[in-house]
Amino acid sequence: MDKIAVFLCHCGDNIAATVDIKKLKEELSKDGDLLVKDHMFLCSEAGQQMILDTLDENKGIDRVVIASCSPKHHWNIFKDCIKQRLNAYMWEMANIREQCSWVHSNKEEATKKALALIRGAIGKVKHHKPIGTIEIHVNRNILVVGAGIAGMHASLELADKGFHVYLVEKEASIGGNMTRLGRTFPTDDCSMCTVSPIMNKVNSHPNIELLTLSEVVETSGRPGDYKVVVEIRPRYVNPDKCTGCGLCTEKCPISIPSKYNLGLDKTKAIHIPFDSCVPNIAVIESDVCLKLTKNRCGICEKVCPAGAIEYDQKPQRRELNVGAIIVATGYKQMDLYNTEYNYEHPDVITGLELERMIVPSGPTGGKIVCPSDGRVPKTVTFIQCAGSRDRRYKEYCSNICCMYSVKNAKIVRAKIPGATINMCYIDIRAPGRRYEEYYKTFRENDIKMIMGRPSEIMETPDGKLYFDVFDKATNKLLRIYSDLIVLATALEPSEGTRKMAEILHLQYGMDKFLSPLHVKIAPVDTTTEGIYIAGTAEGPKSIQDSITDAGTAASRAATILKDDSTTIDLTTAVIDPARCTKCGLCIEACNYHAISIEGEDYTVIDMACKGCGKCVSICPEGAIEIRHLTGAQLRAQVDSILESDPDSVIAYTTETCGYNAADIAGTSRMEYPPVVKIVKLPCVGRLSVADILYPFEKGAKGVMIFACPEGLCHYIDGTEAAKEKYEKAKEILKEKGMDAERLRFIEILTPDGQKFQKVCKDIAEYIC
Amino acid sequence: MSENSTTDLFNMSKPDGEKYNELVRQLAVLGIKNPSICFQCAKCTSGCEAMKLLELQPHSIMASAKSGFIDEILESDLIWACVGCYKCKERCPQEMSPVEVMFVIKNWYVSSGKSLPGDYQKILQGIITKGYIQDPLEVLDRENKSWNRDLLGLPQIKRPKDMKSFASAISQLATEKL
Repeated sequence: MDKIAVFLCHCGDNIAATVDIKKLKEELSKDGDLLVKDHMFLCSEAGQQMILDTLDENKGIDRVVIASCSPKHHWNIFKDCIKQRLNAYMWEMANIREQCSWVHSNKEEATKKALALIRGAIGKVKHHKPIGTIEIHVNRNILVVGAGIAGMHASLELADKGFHVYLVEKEASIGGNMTRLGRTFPTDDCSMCTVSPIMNKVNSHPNIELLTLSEVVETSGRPGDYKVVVEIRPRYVNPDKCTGCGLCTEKCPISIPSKYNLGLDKTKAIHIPFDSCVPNIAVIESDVCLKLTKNRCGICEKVCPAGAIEYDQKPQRRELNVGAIIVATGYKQMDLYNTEYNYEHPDVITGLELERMIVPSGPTGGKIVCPSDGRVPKTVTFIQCAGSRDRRYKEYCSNICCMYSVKNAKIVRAKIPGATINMCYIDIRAPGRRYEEYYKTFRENDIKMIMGRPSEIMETPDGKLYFDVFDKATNKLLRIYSDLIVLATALEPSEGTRKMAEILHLQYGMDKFLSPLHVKIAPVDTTTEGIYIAGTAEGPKSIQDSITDAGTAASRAATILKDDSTTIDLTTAVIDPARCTKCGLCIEACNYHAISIEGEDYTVIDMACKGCGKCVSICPEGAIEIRHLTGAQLRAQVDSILESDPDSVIAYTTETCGYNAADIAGTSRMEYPPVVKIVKLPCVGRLSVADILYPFEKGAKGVMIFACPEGLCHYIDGTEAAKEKYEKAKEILKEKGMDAERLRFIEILTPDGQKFQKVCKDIAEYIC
Repeated sequence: MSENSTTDLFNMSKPDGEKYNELVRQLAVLGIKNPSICFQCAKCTSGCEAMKLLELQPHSIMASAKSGFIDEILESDLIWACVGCYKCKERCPQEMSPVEVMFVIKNWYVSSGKSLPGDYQKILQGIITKGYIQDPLEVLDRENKSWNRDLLGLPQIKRPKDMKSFASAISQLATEKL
């Protein structure tokens, strides 16, 4: 065995006042394999120099233990120091400040615990092996799915940085829902005037390859190197020849409801999707075209001066190679047919339908009318939260409806000065910059605000719309007859969003919107490295928020695509092919799709693996290990702690919440009994039933498992996985006639030092 | 619920935490969620049939229930105006059930031995003694001629055959349910 260097830090008197460093030195020096040194401030430059000098003078030393503060504090400082002489992972840190000197006052007990913690680290470090790095090839192309405002913005950001972008759009034109809007809050800008230049820029950008009428149907590969299959529907019009003159549309005999105008007017089987669409060329709807369905007609081919019509186009498949993917597949409006909102009535419309009427070039020429008969409404009523904040439909708030209804009501007020305008609402949510001010200017208009939700929208026998609503503000039950009712319809994920979740194995919530890796600190990342979300695919949000998202997603993608190759530390799982029986349990357990079958064997995709160790906990053959916490290391640490101090409770903690809570208890000087000795894990999901029971076999007085609270696990569901094993371990203890109360499972949050202190006191009291 | 910190200055009453917990418990037995989830959109009151007649405001019943002023609901004659159409439960966006909150509290009221307020007692008496809320009435036409079901050729209404056992069955059913 090579020698191990142990460095003890006094931390001024932060450690030395409570822990007898001299005694530690004496005790540890009894072991001839250890070279023990101490320093007043090990993290100082002088302290680090001492470490380097020691390693230079003693060439036999190939591993190090540092007993000092919490690794949360100075891990990187010591790692960078040791990296200069040894492999960056050939050392271990024992936390004798937050977990010892700051939480115990009895010097003798604290010293005894410090010794146990250090011996635990020594035991563990003996099993350390150098952890290498690998270089991974990165394909620097990128795929953006969905060409709404978020997708277009992300594409431009990346294209301007020099990346080659494939922008895939399901519809015949790019632009998305923003092209349908009349004006946008809180500036009352004309939406098309804002979005049109962006569309043109996307179309003409040399680094963006636009694929319209296209859908992603298949993906495979790993972060940095994805293969994506895109299916391209035929347009039946040659894009290079079509000039967008519109003669074909004029002559086409088949009328269909316009999808772009949400059925508010008609278009033809061959049409240009909308004014200033991109690309500005015609498309044939194959399911209604006479030529394509019945092989008759063919008028468009005859009249097209450019000879652009090609009925014999076939669907194509194209394979793209990309390094990262941004999903910007957007939202759609919820279907409110067959509800109490009476959406079947033509004069009950959605906010988006009203937007089409606001646009001067829209189906009504910018006039607000009742779709049933084209008359100008005398009473217009807005009903908020139609389908949103409703457990029967969509439980969430759709975020933008308050502001767009406020805007639309203002526009209706300006367009029909004599009309009565009502708005039924629960509360008005205006939390963005300049939103409250916008709402204030809205209140200067004469709009009747009714604080209540109608129960149902009914019609009189002659078809007039009315409803009863209780106004909480005036305490009156009102009956309101309306010519036009505008529903602030809930937003839901588009079909494309749902499809992409399936194809890319992305996590999504109960609401079916895609879930980011972390709602707060990783809002555009997904559980798969190299796949990012932008815009309303992640949840209802405004244009400005979608653009912020898109910029963030582009930046995240650029980070992993910055070089042709990338180097990563292999703190990942590794499979022993000789022991692997290919049962598939690890593939099922892995939330990151990091285990793939290559040829005969299972292998870990190092770039996808997050190193949580959940796979380790379920492998029945012990064929899989994480390099940074092998079974041997874990057992050795437990062994050494218990050898040093048999009266110990082993506390497994997650690297995040559990360990942090203990640190908070430390920094707040919350004393707890010294029997508790912490063993840090990346995630409690790493624990197998055997790992949980192992300390009991070695004589531990108890075992505690500190997990991040369910739903807040940093690796998605490690807490649930650990809980399952905890239950099993408890059963086994009971079967063996042992005291199952000595095994405890605690869900804890980072700031909850108080809870940490309490549960430690509880178990100590119980076992004594 | 920590009730002692709040006082209703109109009648110096305080929220009753125990009654609130009991209400939550009994609603849970019926599979109904905690009233505290209600966010007071007043959709129930907008559609309430009893609101139109007697100004019953289910959302305000829910608000009182949420804040623990259960006695106020218990003493209110208004809850007896609920016709039990269940529209409030059907339409509630938060899956609350004002109608059942009122049923639970009406049951408490009766089981505490109090008699029903005013006309509702008459309705109950009518059912127990005649089998109906009230006997079919005779009506006068414009010529002051009196009509009843016989004269109009309408069939006789069936009554419970044994009025005594019907009455005891109804009473037993009512008390058992409570």
